[in-house]
Amino acid sequence: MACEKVTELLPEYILGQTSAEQDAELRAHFSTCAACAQALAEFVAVSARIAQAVPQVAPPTQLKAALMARVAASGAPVTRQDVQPKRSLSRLFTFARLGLAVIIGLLAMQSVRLWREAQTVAQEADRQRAAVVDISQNPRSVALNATADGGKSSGWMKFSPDAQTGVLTVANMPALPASQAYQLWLVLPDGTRDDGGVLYTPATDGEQRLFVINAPRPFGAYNRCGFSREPVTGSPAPTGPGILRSDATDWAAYKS
Amino acid sequence: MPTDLELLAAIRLRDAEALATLYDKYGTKVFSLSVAIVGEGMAAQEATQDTFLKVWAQVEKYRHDAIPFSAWIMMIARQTAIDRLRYERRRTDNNDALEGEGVLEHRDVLAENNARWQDLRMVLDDLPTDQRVVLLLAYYRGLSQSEIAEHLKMPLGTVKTRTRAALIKLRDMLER
Repeated sequence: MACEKVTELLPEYILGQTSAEQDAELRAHFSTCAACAQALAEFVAVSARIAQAVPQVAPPTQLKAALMARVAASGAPVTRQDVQPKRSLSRLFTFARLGLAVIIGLLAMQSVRLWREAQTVAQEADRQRAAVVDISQNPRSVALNATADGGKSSGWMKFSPDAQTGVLTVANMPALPASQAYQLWLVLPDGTRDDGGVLYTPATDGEQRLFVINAPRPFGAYNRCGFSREPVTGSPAPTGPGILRSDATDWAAYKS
Repeated sequence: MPTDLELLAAIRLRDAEALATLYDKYGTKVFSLSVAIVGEGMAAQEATQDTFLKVWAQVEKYRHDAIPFSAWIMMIARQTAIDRLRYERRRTDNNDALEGEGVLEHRDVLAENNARWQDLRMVLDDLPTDQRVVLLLAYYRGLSQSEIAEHLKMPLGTVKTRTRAALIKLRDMLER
């Protein structure tokens, strides 16, 4: 098909008014002619804009569940039969089917989500277990010492410099009200603090806890760590007093 | 929010949650177009579902270097709704409501989208009436050019000329 003919047919093609034979010829032409493919792209953009030139109407809330139920029921790519208009079902049966589909869809989505969560948790547990065993075999550790606000608290941390998993134990941190927590910070050489992912609210003095730390970066990037007292929801950066912290020299010696 | 291409890659791996996310992103657009074409009711809901099921089933056919996904899905949505409309028309022998000017009259407009809708509507309103009617009948009613010619009692050549002129004018306006 010549470019002139393609240009003439483009509007009809965009509007779905061309025959199947013409469609096949046009598609073959577009695959070999960059100029006509560009012209097609421009008209496709126009078509997409016209499609949105309608009042935006929110779909009924149950529609998503019904859709996902059909996806779950299909299990495989949908056949043409599946997307044909339904011809003989009564409206009552349609509603009943929709209701059932909604229930099945909700159950299917819930099952998929729970299964995925369980899988993720199990994989993460395995990974952490292996990392913790490996790290724990290191006889050395970085000591965490109490500040003036830290009372009798103490702790230590172990990690591999090129990994992001570490192990931390703390003991005797002063008890906190339920509205507050100790938040762990991992400190970069320039003073920037990464959230260490630990929010700990000891109910009584004298508790001991072990935490597995998943750092945002390999531990070798940091040069110390510490806890501060924060609201129980945590803070983006330290706002309360420091409680327990490591020494930069000790940390550097551990990394070497 | 993942990009369209990331979602499509997940859908190729049969990730139903990716399709659910895609629905969150495009559900209102697809449903709105379906309502504009087939009217409110079960037909629009089924056309919307069918559109996303086609994406699920035909995702391998999508070529991201050819057209944006946002345009691809709206083309599927339009064709699906037009197929539904033609089926309903055959079933009921109802050829009423073919007036082009009445096609876009709907209520229940989401307030937050009003500005955007008005903006786009104004683009269509900028077309001369004779071009706009031809385009609306073709785009939102799925009529062939012969059917439009018959409906408007005008020569087929005139319909072709006006359709082409309308699309070119829209293209030029949208490029500005």
